[in-house]
Amino acid sequence: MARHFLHLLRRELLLGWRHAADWAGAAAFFVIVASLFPFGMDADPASLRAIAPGVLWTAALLASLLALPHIFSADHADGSLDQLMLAPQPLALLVLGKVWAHWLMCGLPLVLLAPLLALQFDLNGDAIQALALSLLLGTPILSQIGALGAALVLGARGGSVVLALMVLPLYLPVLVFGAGAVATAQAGQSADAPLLLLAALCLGAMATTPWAGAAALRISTE
Amino acid sequence: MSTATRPSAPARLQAHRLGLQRGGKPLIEALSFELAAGRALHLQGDNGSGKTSLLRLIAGLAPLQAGHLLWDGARAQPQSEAWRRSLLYTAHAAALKGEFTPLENLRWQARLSGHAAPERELRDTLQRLGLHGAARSPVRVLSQGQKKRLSLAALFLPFKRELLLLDEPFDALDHASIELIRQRLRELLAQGASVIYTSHQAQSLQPADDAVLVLKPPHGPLH
Repeated sequence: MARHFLHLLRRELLLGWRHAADWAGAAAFFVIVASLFPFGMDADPASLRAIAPGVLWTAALLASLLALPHIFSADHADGSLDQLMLAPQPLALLVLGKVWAHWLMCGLPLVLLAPLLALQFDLNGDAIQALALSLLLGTPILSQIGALGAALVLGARGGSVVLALMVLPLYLPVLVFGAGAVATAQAGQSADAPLLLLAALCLGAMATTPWAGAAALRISTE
Repeated sequence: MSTATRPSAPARLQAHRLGLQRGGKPLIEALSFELAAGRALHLQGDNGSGKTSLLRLIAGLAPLQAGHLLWDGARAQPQSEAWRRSLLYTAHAAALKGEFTPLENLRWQARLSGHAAPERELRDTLQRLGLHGAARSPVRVLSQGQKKRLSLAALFLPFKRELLLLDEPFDALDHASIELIRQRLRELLAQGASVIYTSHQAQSLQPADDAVLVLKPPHGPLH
């Protein structure tokens, strides 16, 4: 089963590598959106520090959303999804492989880029650390919820819009705890509580979304 | 609804009063048929008569809404690992990745279906299908006929499949390729596989032997 998962992951990463624009676009979007705010506002460091947690987290959240429709749609369009669904291993493993591939190609670059972008907002070291940690825990949740939504709207007309409308409200707790962790650290307090809540959400999503995603795929492809 | 049976040979696959609705209308109603090992069943019917839906239903890609399937006398478990390992389903869509070469497509197809194939077997299969010359080109530059041949390459890999479900396997193929696929299917039938296939062309695997099942939806074809 582990071998099947690794095969899936390698296949997804190889396909992603050859379709780099899909995934690089998310990282570029994150950089551009997060960089617009310091240019668009007055240069008062206190104002930038105040908006930084919300801006950086919202930009990451929207960037993560960009590549979501591609998670299953290409395989659905060319018929590969049927073959993947007929593999002898559990369908949840396919969803898990897709989620991990999405996170590695789309979520991880955001985690790595965020500390650099945080410098534009004059965040202190603790806040930058909290930002990186909160994104490390939060972006996998975004990928998991997003994959579930992508499975549900598969093949639907206007699926991308429906997907955004469906998953954005579900992203809210992640945004609140993620931005909260950065703001708390910036204020000189411990960010442990929001980070632990994000970790709990991440584990909960890991335990449930592959199975829910598999059920959603079955319904969408009937 | 037509019913095809072969009482002379013991049935491997038995369908009992299968039912399927599409858009609130019955598409397949009380369909029963049997298929023995080493036999082929040719599904016929107009566009929208439910041929593809029936194949997907047997494959386990769509849930049974009525009736049941028996495999070797026991209730078939389409979600089980054993069922999926013994099944080969090729759909109308080629299930190929345009970014991959034919060899890569075949390699991933084999790996993800739970069968490890040595690289030599994969290359031999491409050679047999006349695709060795295009082995390093991305699939997106191949012709429709070449893509179709590649999508049927799994038939040539040395994995034991007991039930083959083939949706329009002869589409877009030239005469020589059709003969190649027919020949391979006859070999698999001789090895005991059961085959259910759809074809709009008047192609049959074993002209004198294939059972024919004509699907006629109770309220006309779905368009």
